[in-house]
Amino acid sequence: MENPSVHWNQFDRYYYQKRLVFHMGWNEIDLDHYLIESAPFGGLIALLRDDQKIINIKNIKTNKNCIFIYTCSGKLISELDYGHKQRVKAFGWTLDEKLIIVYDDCEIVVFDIFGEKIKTKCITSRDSTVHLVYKAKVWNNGVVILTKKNRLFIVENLSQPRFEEYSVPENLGIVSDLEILQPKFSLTGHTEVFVSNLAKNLFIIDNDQTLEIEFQEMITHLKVSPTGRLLAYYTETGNLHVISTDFRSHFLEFQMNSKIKPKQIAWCSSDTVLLNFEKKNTLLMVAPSQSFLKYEYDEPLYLMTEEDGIRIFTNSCCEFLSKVPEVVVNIFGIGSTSFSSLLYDASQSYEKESSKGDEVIRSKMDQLPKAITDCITASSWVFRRDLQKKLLNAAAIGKSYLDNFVHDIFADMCKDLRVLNEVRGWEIGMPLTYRQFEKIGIDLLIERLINRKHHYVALKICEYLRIRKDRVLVRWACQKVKSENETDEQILKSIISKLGKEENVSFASIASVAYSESKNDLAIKLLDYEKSASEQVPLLINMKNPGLALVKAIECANPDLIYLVLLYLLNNEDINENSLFQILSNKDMAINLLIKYCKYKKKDLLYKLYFQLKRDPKVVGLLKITESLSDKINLEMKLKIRNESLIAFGVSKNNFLKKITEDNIKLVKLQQDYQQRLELVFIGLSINQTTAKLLELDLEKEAKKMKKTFKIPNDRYWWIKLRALAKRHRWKKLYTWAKNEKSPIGYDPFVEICIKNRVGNEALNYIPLVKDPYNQVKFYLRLNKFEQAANIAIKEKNQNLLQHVKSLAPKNLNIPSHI
Amino acid sequence: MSSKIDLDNLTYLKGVKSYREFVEKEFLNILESVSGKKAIIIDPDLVGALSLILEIPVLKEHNVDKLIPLSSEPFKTQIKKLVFLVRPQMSSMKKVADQIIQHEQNQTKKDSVEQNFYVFFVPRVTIICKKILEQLGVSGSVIYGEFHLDLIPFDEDVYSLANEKAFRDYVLGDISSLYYVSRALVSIQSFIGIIPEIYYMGEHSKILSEMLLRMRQESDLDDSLTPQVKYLLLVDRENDLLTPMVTQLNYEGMIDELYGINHTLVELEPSVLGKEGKIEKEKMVLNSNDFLFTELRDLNMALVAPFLVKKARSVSSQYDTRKKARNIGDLKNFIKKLPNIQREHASLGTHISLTMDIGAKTTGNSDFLERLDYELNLLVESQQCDDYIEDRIAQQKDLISVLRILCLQSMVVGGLKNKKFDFFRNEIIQTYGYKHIFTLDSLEKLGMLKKSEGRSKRGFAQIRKTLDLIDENYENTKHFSSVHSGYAPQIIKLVQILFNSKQGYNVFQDLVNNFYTENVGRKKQKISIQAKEEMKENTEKPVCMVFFVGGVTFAEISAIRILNQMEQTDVHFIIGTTHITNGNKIIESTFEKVEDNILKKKKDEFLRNKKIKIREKQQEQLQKQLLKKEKQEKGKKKN
Repeated sequence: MENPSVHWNQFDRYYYQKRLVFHMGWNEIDLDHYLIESAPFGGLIALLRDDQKIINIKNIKTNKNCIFIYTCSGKLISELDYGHKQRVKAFGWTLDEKLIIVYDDCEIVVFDIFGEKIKTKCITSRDSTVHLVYKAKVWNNGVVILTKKNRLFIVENLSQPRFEEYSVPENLGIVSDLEILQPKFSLTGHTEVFVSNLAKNLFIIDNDQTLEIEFQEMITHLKVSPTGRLLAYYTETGNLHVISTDFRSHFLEFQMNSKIKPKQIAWCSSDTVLLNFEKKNTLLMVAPSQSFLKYEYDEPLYLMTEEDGIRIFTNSCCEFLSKVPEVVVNIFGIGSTSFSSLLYDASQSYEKESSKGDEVIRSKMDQLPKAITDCITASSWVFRRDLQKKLLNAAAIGKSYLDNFVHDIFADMCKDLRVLNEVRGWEIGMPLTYRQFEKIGIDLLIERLINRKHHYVALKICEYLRIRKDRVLVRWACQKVKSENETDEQILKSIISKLGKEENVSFASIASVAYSESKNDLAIKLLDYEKSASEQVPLLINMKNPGLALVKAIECANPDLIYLVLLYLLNNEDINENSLFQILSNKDMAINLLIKYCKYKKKDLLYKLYFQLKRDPKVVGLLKITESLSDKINLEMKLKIRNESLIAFGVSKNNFLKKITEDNIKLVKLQQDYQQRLELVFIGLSINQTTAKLLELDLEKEAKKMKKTFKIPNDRYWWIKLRALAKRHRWKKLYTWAKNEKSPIGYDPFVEICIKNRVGNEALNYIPLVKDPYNQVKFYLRLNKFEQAANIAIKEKNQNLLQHVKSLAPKNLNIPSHI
Repeated sequence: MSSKIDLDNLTYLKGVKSYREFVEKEFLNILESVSGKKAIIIDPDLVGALSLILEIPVLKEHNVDKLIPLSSEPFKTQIKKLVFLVRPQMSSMKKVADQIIQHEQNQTKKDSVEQNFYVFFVPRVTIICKKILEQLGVSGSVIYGEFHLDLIPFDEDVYSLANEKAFRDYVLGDISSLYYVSRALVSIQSFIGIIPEIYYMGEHSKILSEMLLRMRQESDLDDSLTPQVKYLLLVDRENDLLTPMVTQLNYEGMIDELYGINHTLVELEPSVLGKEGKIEKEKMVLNSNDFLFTELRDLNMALVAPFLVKKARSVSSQYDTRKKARNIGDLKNFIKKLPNIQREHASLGTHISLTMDIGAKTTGNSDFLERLDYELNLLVESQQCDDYIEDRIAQQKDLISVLRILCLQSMVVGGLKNKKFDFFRNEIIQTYGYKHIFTLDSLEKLGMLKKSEGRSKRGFAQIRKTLDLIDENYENTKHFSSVHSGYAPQIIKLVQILFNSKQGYNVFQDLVNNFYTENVGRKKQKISIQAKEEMKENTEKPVCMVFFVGGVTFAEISAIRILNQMEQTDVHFIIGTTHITNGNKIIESTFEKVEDNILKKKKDEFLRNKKIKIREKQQEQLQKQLLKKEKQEKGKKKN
């Protein structure tokens, strides 16, 4: 077995390795004829015929408007038909391998890899003019579009399809290149857009400001590094620069002195830039130290920057170029004396049943733990299975010398490598490095496998790693439901046999697919297995089964779900009121919610609801009265409605409400009369207020009539009159009244009201009429009439009271101290 | 007396703390998610709640330029991002829509700023609200979000959903808010652990307990967390509407009765605190951060003044230690304590002023004393006070206070006699207006004001006797009946019975069954074996959350705090509620709001009144002239 180091190139203090990953499985593909985009993390590649290139007709594979989707191993996944009408301006991938296509009229469509439209979003501004795309860029889940009229639109997250428009400087002019800094890298947390123009400017635009930098020469290429820290740009005279994305530092200037433009600029790791000079058949690698390395190719190239290296596609193969990590150099480097290297060699000698290794290991026990972890780490980097095995074996042997080594790292690595080796195979063709795998995570990997319909592999991986597999099963079932050569019965049986005992399986989502495939019976049967009502209800509505939906919604008492059904019922033309009431009958919770809604939005339905469903005439009457109190209708109408409510109260045998309402109708009629006669507002006042107002206007006769009509008790009438007269300061009239008639409420209120209105002299008139001598004294005292107070006390023969009065009175008053 | 002793060390506080942090962080995340300068248009309902979870300056740090209360009134702003923070109430949606549409129209007018709209629902977005916005013409350009502020920590031991409309909804037969209570209780359990034992009394509580169990199954609650709260007792306000009608006589309750406490805030006229020059109302926070208030809040009003006097003496003696200081060390000691003393001093000043003002409004007010007298006579001896009530109506006193005592009487005696019932209702309608037929209807539905159905074995008199609700010796025994000067809130009495080792669940169940409702029971929630073990190892008093569905009064909260300090309780109680209520709020929630557009109405009314006044004046002048003429004519005749 050859030492892996023979494939390394030393370059700028480091070793780099360019390893062959796959021989491409495709035939007669010439990359030169295509525009190419690959998904990051060893993902799929999409090829779109470049209509600016002239091609020999016999090389054209198909006439259809399609994008070819291949794995990294060149296995065709699908020919995705992107439609005839529009031109594709840009395309790119989401992390879970969905293809985003930007058309020239600003329409953005997300496809799954088999060509099914998942989402469509069209950018139109408020004035609804159609924009034409000049340049567009796609990343992860976002899109940036520069229109021909230099308007800039950003969609940061296609799963919440909402776009922002950035304001563009007026002097932008003609744009030469456009690049974005992803929100996760920018200081503001928002997408920053770098735009270079022919006028040698570079603009940095974000959501609320623009920065403009002038350059000596025009920038033709812009490329941000995979960590978002650095920006490489290439100028028209052939200068490559690297600066930081905050524009504070300048790291590299490299002069090519050539007018040939590179086809692509890419990053390898976070510090090395690659220039693809296709016309010179050269791939040039430039390090921060300005040293460079040339790779010669005789085929067109496509470069795909990864986090930890770069994928290079040619017509015939897929390669991966990356830095060799230090741990690996330490083990395999020629002449390495690191202990990990010794451990590796020792394990090799064990294989040969030599005991030399034992001595070596025992010589430096203190360095052993690190050497073991180094071997494990190194195994994660190599792709060759034989080397992985050897490295892990070395770790295992080292481990056996230690009692307390944490086994988990070793076991986890073994598991992860098994998974990785599986997906790295030609069949799946996803050349994930371990570091990429750590970054992308198992969830996304599973998602990709499911998307590619590798359900079985995904399921096995879940089982092997002991993680939740319901997602895989559900997606498999969704696929199964679509099957056309099996009967519903067979499909159901096979789904239940696999999923029936699993927890957390969303049967609703499977049922939903069945429904969209017009397999209604199957959908309903599947839905029976669903545990969560919030999943069942929306689907049942979709399936036009609102009755069952309402039952389920009420079962879980979720008002939101109930409203969902109710709104469907109200807005559906096929459902008339009768069937609405039928569905609602005996469902109090739903009825009450509907009533609440109707009060805001659909008042006409209210009565019918109460009549039909509540069968409560009293409430109907009350409802009528609410309506009659509204300001929006005229008086005649009000009276009419109130009269109607009388019928309802009659039916409900509620005599009180009936009487009160009759009174009210009488009152309103009287008020109407007064209003006309006196040109004053009466309507809206209570019986008390009306009477008071009449009294205030000195209309005694009318007030008496009120008293008689509404049987106002004498007490209350006196109170009303008392207050009315006081309000108008009719003190004389008040006194005459008090003298001529005997007050049923006593005279205390008379005194009180006079004191309150600060007419003390008037108050004195009534104090003698007050019954309780104690109160008399109190009132006199409040009015500072100490002598009178004392007199009462004396008359009452109350020594204490007299004492009290004396204590309050000014000394100069001659108040007797004894009775 | 201080409840601080063991509170700091209770484990449940940890869970609650992490919940509080979670809520704060979520809100800051919301602010961050809307980049740049923004204005928040906030439901007035939520201002208080928000102030409980973060300080207002924090908003400024996160680029919030303006905080505008939500209304339909148009306002202009150049700020690009408008963030609405609203309760999912249908009535608020109109206002949100009005604002958005106004701003959108302004946009199309000129080439002005393009604004973005964000609507965050608290705690959750509802389908119906979105639908209404849509129907009102709010376009799809609005971004919706949620702020999951469910239970708001009002204090270390009080958690409220602050849903002031909860009770009114129940009155109208809409129990959908129970669903949100349930969501709130499920979500807090992800911080304080699963509550293993649930008790309930009342129809709504029963429904709620069922919802809780079902929702737990549907959500992925972590059952390995050690339960920090062992019991949850759900009680319906509707089972005891009598207690809130009784005047609250503990310090905090009294403040609420007189000035109104809103989200721990009380707004006082500056004169109350002796600050004469000011015009603006003084805002004062009432919570356990004010140590003096912590000691005062549960005290019966009669004990407040003496306590303050004692406190004042101790503060002044602390100041005196300076004079007695013999050496530098003593002085240093004093200086160290000084900020505390000063803070205590300031707080003391405030509470003394407040107490004096309360005194003037209560013991110095014959109206108040008279009312209290009638109230106590009702509670202690079921002595009715028809004349008093009739008098109050005749004098056209404030309707809420009239209804409070009338309802109290009706509930105490088990309903009014037929004739009396009709008489009072008629009096109320004639005096306060026809629209109150809705009020009366609602009160009847709630059983607060009703016709008597003959003698009942389940009446208040029986409850009073069986539960031993009256304790005239409350001042000496430190009993929780002190919050109403001798009348113990019924629910608290039942809580005491349920968790008393001598009585317990069976006694509780019988009592509730006999006197309140057949809906009483208990349920268990499964917890992991590990959690069970850990719970067994915990030697602290187990914690019980008493959750009031439909509102709790400050007097009841105080009663529970006093119960915590009474010797025979083996459980530590904390309080949860849909909102904090009192008699006035309950009565008011039965009023039907006839008009949606109150503002417009007021304006019209004002204009109309103005016209009327002018006319009335004219009329008066006319009459005067007529009178003059009459006099003159009479004079002429005499002559």
